[in-house]
Amino acid sequence: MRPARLAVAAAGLLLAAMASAQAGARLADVAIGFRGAPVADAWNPVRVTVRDVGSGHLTLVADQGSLREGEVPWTIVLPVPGGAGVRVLEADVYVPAWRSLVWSLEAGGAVVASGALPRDAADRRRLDLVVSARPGAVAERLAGRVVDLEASALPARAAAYDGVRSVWVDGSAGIPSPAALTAAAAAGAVVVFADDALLDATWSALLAWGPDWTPVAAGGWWRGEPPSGASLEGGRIDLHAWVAAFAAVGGATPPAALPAPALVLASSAYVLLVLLAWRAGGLPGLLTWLVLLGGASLLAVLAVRPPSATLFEARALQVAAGELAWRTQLHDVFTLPAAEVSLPRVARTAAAVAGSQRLGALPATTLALPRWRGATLLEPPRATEALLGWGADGNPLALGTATLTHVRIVGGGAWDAVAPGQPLGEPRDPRPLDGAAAAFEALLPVGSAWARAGSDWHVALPAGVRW
Amino acid sequence: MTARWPRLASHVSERLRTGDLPQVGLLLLAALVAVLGLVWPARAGLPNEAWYAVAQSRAVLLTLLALGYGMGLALEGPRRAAATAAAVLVVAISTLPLELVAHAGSAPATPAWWAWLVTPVATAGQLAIGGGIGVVVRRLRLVALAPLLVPAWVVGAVVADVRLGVRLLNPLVAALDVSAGYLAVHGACALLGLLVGAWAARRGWGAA
Repeated sequence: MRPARLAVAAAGLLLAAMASAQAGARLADVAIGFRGAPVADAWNPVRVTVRDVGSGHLTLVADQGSLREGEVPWTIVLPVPGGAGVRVLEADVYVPAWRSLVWSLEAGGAVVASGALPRDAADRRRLDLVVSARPGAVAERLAGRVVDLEASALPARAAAYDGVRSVWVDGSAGIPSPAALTAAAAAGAVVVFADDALLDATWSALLAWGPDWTPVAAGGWWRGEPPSGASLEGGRIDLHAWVAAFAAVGGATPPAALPAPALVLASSAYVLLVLLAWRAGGLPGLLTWLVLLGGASLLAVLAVRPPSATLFEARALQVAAGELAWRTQLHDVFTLPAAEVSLPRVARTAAAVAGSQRLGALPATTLALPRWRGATLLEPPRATEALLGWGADGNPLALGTATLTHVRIVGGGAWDAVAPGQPLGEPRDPRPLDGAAAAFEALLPVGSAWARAGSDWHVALPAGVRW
Repeated sequence: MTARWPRLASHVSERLRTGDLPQVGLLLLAALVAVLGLVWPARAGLPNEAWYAVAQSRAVLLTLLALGYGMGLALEGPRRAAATAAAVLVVAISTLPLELVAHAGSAPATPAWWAWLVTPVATAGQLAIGGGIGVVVRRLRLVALAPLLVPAWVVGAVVADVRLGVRLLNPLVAALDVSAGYLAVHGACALLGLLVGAWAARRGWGAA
């Protein structure tokens, strides 16, 4: 064979190899949950990586139904910006416990990637995230759902840690940003620093200054003897149970109907007047009938029609330790006619209801509700400033500008109100609570303070509560 | 021309004052008040489903009323027939506030204007249909069957709509949801009945 032919053949082989490599490169990667390990019934981070793909959207459809209920789809749509090169999108989405979960990424009118998660992957157990070069040791200690990550993979969004039980850091695989670890702790996770952690100067100074346990909102930082999986699970504050108990209190209620006897009496009076108008006869009688018709119709609408066919109420639950609080906003909706109810905010439902979430668009959340049905929607949790804390005298303290009312200490005294900057007087005996509020208080650790600001409830955890 | 409307009003008023129509009207209104009182929620917090029962009861009762009086129209003189038809319309429209109060309480997805639109049109159409049935039974000398034919027509309309999968004649379905087909069919029947009535009046047909 001549050298020229050999060169052509070699070039052909090289081109074929390059083409094969390009064809093998995936256009898009989608990871639901940390490293593709989603937690059912929790907010999870979603990471979408696209390569040289135009703008499109990712659609996730989770069927929350059962054999009895049939299909109850929950649809999530995320806009995915595209273009030349590699682009990464990160967001937090609520993943319900699914019977089937399928996703597809569409761009330019075509599906560029798709996938599904099996039903047996719907695991409600919270994750233990390990940022270490030796994750095996932690996995052995915890015997839970352990996911090892790079330090840079931890997001600085509290909602992403809704399904996280603990974050383990020893510095051997990099130090996560303080914002990410604060977000994790604020969301209720226990951030465990190994005793021999190779931490940077900032963290070393911060942790050396404080005690073993530094509470941060609903979670905290720990630098003592590493906890076991059982101790993490046994003693941890169950925020999901607190939210469920809070959601059961109050909410949007249907309007009170006019009493039936009053309605029958008014209707009978109308019938009697109509008969009298007919009896009057002639044109005056008919005109009187017309006036009666109009008046009765107007009265019917004004006296009976509720002010709105769809009722909305918003309230929030805050759990604080120190100056930082974990907060989730609840929206109670109640619709009289069968309707699609929309919210401008991204939220998930407290119970399985067919609906959709559209991130970055309005309305962000839409529910299909049958008539005379209510639902409670919960926004993703976030970290915020605490409004209720503890004073130097050991009494509850209003940290913000709002006066808090119905102040109580679990297992202790009660006050009518606590105003910012005002010392509390002598406590009085707490009044008995109604069923739902009593059920909520029963979940709080003894010594917690809780108070109300309008329809928002604030909890301040006692310093002794660890996880 | 200007004196015609007060005269018609006088005839209608006379029809509403005398004879059986005010009694039937009272019976119908009282029945609807009873239905409203029975299905209204007994205490706060219960879903208010009153409108569904009231609207369907009203639709069936008005259908029976219009078909029944429609069958007798051909036996009356043109003037009295027109007064009877208008008086039946007045009775039908008088029931609207009772439906409106139930609608306001139940707040269904069906718009409130639907009852206002469909009631006069459907009642007029059913008067015409009743008139047609009346003429046919007299021609066939089956007048004895007339009382049976009114409910039979209602049952037949329901069965026909269900079997054919349409919403043209069934008053139970039309009471609960906007139905252009139902409105069109009854509007056409009403128009046809009006034209036939006018033609018959000009030809001097009808008793007295």
